[in-house]
Amino acid sequence: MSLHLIIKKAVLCLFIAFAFGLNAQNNEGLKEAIESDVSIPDSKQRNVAYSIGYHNPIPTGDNFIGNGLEGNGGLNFKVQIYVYKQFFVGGSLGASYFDVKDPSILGDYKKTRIAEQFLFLGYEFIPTENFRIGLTASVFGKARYKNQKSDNVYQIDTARLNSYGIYLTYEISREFMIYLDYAFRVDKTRINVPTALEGTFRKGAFSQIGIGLKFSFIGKDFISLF
Amino acid sequence: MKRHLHFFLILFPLLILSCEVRFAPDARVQVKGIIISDTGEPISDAQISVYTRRLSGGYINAPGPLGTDDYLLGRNYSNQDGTFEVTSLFDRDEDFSIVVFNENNYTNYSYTTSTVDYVPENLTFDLETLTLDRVATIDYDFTRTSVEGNTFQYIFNFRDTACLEYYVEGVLDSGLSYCYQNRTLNRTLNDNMPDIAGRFSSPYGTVVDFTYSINEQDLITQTFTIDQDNYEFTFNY
Repeated sequence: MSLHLIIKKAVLCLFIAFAFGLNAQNNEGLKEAIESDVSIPDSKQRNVAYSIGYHNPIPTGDNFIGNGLEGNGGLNFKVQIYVYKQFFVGGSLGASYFDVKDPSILGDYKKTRIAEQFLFLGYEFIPTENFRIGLTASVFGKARYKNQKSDNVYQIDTARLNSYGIYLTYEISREFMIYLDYAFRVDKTRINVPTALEGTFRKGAFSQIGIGLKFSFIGKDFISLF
Repeated sequence: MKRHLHFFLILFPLLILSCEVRFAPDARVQVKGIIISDTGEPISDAQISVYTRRLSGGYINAPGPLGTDDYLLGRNYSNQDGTFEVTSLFDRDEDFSIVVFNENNYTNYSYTTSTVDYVPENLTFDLETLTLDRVATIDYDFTRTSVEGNTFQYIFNFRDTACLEYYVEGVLDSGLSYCYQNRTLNRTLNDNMPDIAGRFSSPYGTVVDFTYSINEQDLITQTFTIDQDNYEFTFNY
């Protein structure tokens, strides 16, 4: 079983387990169950959060990214909207940069910039006063690889991306946090290749470890607003 | 003045865009085959390069502008057993080439085709078995030992070391292909340059015609077979 599949299943199980946890309660007890399971003080509830961060991509696995590229930094910008309590949906825009370490695997070019955009779902745990731990999984995303030989000579590849992440934030103030995050990325490419190269090019994977700043707005979740 | 500004504002982005070269998106091709010598031995460490738009660059082995490798799409080297596999970008162009090059030890080979309307089956260029001939170098040295004023004209006729095969939709077009064509090297020596030394390459075992004339007298032709890797040819007049 691939790492991608394991992560996908783990995230799915987490959501299902939580959903079943709620469904197991009868209707009368539902409210109390929700209250006891996910209730947090109003001062801890957020409605929107923005983050901007730097990350380092780490190519992994036996694929064109793992064997042919070397990470060289990246930036991302995220917005997350708290839909219900600590459940949130969000969007991410970013770019990851790579140097080519083995052109015989990829074709002849020198560097790659992956422009990436995706929507994600997530849940945030608040284990202590100042810390939050979040889990995220992308639901829709795409990536555009700009493979550059020089400034004006390049080639484009495209892919559908999947991203699974975890983050830890520390509240410096009520609205301002710093975070560390880890994400595992699997891109399913649309590259047309000979049969012999299918195994190398069909998927590409990398991990990314990042650090950044997060700004959040205290307020009711989206559903509670209505 | 305003009109000039508008003209500039429109032209400048167009100029920037027109300088961009973008190869085929979402595509890789593979080139594979085996390289052996004329005696059947596998040739290792031969360089196999995939190029496009060589005509734009004007160079054979470094076809990009200013000698860069901008139009090199993929490159790899043959293994110990002579087999090779090259993963390459792809481009739609009239001048798409696969060049096999092995220092100066063996003849060079080019597979050339147009990919404007052609994509190989399974995105694979299978060159199958390529046979390269051993190449010898001929070092010549002409020295004037006679009196000043004597002139010496020489002409070498020999076989080139390049072989180009042109394919149309995967089928060899012999009319557009050429291999080991005759080449000529000639010069006249006089008081301005009475002596000269130089070098050229030709397939091992081929015959070279050496034709000369002293003081514009009748031409004399000698032939010799290249039977050494480094053939030395000296002549005094």
